[in-house]
Amino acid sequence: MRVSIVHETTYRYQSPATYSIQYLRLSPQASRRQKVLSWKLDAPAPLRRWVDGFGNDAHVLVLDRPHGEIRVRARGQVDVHETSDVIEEPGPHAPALYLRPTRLTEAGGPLGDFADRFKGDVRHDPRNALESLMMGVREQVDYQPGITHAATAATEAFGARAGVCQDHAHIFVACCRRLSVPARYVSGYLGGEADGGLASHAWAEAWLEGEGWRSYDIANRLRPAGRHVRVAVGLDYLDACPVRGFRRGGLGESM
Amino acid sequence: MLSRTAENLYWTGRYMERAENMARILDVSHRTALQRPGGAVDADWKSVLDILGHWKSFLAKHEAPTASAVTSFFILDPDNPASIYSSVRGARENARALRAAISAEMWEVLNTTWFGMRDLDAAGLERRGLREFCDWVKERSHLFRGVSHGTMLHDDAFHFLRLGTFLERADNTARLLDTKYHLLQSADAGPAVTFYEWGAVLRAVSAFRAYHQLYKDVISPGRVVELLVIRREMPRSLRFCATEVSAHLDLLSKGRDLEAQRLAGELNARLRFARIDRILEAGLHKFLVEVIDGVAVLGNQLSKDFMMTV
Amino acid sequence: MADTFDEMHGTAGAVRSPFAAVKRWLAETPHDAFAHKRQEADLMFQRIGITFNVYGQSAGAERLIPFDIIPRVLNAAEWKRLSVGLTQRVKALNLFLKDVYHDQEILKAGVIPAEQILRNDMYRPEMRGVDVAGDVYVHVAGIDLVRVDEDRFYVLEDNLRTPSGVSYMLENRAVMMRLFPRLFSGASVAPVDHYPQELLRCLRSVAPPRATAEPVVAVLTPGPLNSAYFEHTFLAEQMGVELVEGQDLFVQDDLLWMRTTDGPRRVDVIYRRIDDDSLDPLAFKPESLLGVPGLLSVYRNGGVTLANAIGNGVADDKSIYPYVPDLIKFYLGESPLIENVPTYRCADEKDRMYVLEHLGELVIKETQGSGGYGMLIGPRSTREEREKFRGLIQKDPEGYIAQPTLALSTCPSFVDEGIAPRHIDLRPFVLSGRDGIAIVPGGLTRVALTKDSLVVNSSQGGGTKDTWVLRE
Repeated sequence: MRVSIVHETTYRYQSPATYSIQYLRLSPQASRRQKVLSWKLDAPAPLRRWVDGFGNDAHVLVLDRPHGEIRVRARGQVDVHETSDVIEEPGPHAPALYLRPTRLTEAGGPLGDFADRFKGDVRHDPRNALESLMMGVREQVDYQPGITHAATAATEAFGARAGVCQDHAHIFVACCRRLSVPARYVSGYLGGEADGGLASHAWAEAWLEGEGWRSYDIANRLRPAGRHVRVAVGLDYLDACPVRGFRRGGLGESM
Repeated sequence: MLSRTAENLYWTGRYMERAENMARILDVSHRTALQRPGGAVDADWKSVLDILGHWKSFLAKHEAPTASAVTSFFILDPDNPASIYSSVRGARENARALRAAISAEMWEVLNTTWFGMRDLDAAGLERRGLREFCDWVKERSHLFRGVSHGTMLHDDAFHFLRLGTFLERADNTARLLDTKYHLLQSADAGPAVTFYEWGAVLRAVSAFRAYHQLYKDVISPGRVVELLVIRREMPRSLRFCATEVSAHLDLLSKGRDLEAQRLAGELNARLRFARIDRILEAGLHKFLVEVIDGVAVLGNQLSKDFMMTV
Repeated sequence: MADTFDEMHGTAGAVRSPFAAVKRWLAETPHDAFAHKRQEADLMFQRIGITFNVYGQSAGAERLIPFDIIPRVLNAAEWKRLSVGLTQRVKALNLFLKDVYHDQEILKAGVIPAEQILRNDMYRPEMRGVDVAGDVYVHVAGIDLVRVDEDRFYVLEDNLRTPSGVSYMLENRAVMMRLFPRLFSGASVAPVDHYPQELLRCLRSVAPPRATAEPVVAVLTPGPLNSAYFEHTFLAEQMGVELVEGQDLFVQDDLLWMRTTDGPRRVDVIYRRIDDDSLDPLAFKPESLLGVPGLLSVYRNGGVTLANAIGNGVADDKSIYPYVPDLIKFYLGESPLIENVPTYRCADEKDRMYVLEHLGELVIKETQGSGGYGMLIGPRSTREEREKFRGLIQKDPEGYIAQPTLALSTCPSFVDEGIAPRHIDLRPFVLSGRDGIAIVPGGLTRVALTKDSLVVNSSQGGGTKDTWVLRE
């Protein structure tokens, strides 16, 4: 499906910041799943391109004059493969790297117990086991904004039984890793229905022996097809998030 | 040099000067209070608070401006950013960050001064006596200046140190003069009052003898103001401070045209071409407030011109 | 335990030739003079300010590391053997790091299981594909050596991230020369004070391609509260370069800059003494205030060189240590000239069985931790402690390795009872630049001042000695 994207992010400060720097991950790459027809990033200063440690296309935005806000806009069109059976790009790292738990994706306590329920299934029938895991996570954890925030770890969100797509993705990834299934966090866009509508979105990819990386949109209980534009991957949100920044001066940030 | 190092040096200079000026003001208030013929002792201590501000935070901790309350507040109180304790601590902390830029002797002076403050309490201060304590602070400040002048390379580090010293001195002197002049103009000023009060101001800046050397006449308010504002021989005058600030800035600028230089030049010019009669006519307070503001703006501009933290 | 080898007397009792001058000096000097000189030494160290903050104690709790005035002496031949062996080892480790962050041939060849590397937290995905200047990853290596007899040294541990202690090596020599000038004129001791010059040469040699003709080097320190702060200031001063903290640096235009009073100044090479996690809050630990936001992007784009490189921890981790002889063979086609301490990997079933049966004789070490705390010293342990470790090993076999207790060599040292032998080790500092490897003769000798103690860590009661390498 052809997805049109206009994504604007604005940060505002109560008092001017004197220096700010952002890592932007806002540029989708061509892959087996998607073809980038056009893409443009607008920012208040020249962007410097770099490729991060996970193979993501990234940019650095530096503002070194006093500023009270930062406005970045990403615009473009992407053709997304319709079927859900796409195998994702392997990327620069062997899958085993993605077995590593991070603070946001530890599966201890009740979350660990939950994951362990799928242990047997994962050994015998990993494909179905992961589908069940996805459904199981979504059943356990409601979609509810305002309960968690960007730094909430998987165990916390699971304990709260509520979160947003970022949390669903973290929880799923945490469970996979505990089950010795390599899993990575994905950040991107979810195109709306035919009438438009677009949102920043987070989902996950898990690696199956003999197959490769397959996507799972836990928040929406489906395997991505046609509407998901993949932008960045990593061990968790911190590696793949659209904007991660620092500023000097400038109190009270709001987005 | 690193901007942070310059900043540390600048603040080391400012803090030591601040400590010295505070000791001077307290010492003088103490002396005039002793000499006051009967009554209203608290007026002197009140005027210290007027000069330095901090009424609100003072009254949060103390009931009335008695001698012991004011001295405790301005000498020992670690929560009062203007206290001698805080200034000495500030000087030492800034210096600790720049061990490489200052000589071992300079560090030793600041460190030992700090130990002296750290180990002092109200009882100890009482035993020592305010006069002796203030002399000690002044001595340590002199020693620091002397050791700096004698052991540091007279390079950028030295210039930043001096910038701090003279900006602080200008600010403190202007405030002292502003408050005292205002108080004394509004009071009944007979010749005895004039002699004691203005004499006290002169002693606060160690200019009692200098006055007589220069003017060979009785103490008059106009002349005191002149001495402290525009006489370039007087090392604590605003003119002297402004000249020093410009000189050090010029050496630091290395040919660049800095906004701070322009501001310093403006301040300099105002003091160089001033006439006391015109200033007093237009209002000394107005003039001094402009100087104090000018110093503050200049301080901020230094941050920008030398990439210090804003 | 085998007979302990004493560096002065060997096992036979006669004075070994390297120690001849020292022996004479000890015999000829009256006891009081030594006591006096020892006090002088302490005062000198205090004045220099070479103190350190002990972790866990309140800020401002600064301590001197005890210095013992009897030097440890190696002759030229002994040092030459060590030097060649150290060069070989560091060369192989640099090749390993390059390989593991590029084509991973050693994993493809099955020499090390891939998962051992990829699941190791010290392996940094951010280094994948990064080309570093001169292919040098370990610019400064501290290789800890122990000696068990006349001819046998072992590598105890590799330190390839932010090894410290070289300032002690230099100050120890300076103090010894001030206190005992005649001792030095009687012996022919190779100098060490050119270390800062060699370090600077090495750092400048790895300037990135975009650097100007005169590359700018700076030392990045976490600040005065760090236990090794003295060393950071010392080295910056000796090299004549700026000592910076994270807040002094900023990223712009794909380059790294310093905030100076003359405006922004480019920095080409950073000798960083902060750990990987603290380097860039936009890439690693978000709450770290010690690093520079944006630094990783400049590094990956080749705009700045970091010494030591990011991600070296994968090569000095205790779980990789047993493989180092295999690395030397794989990359250089040679046998290691200095061997590892014989090591049992608890992850290996056969090794594990042996270890569990011989807990009382072995030293058990954790594979990811800092020295001296999470260890079991078999012969000194209680039954409870051994049982505790049995449980730990069985629960997480990959987390432990074991080594036989070594009878470390001893060296005469001043103690309460007079002069007595105490166990020592040696940390030479190996510098790698674009033009090759340089090692300043000797290194830091650490001594366990408590009788029979094998723990030389300064944070646990160890001290240091001057290390002499004789010119013949």
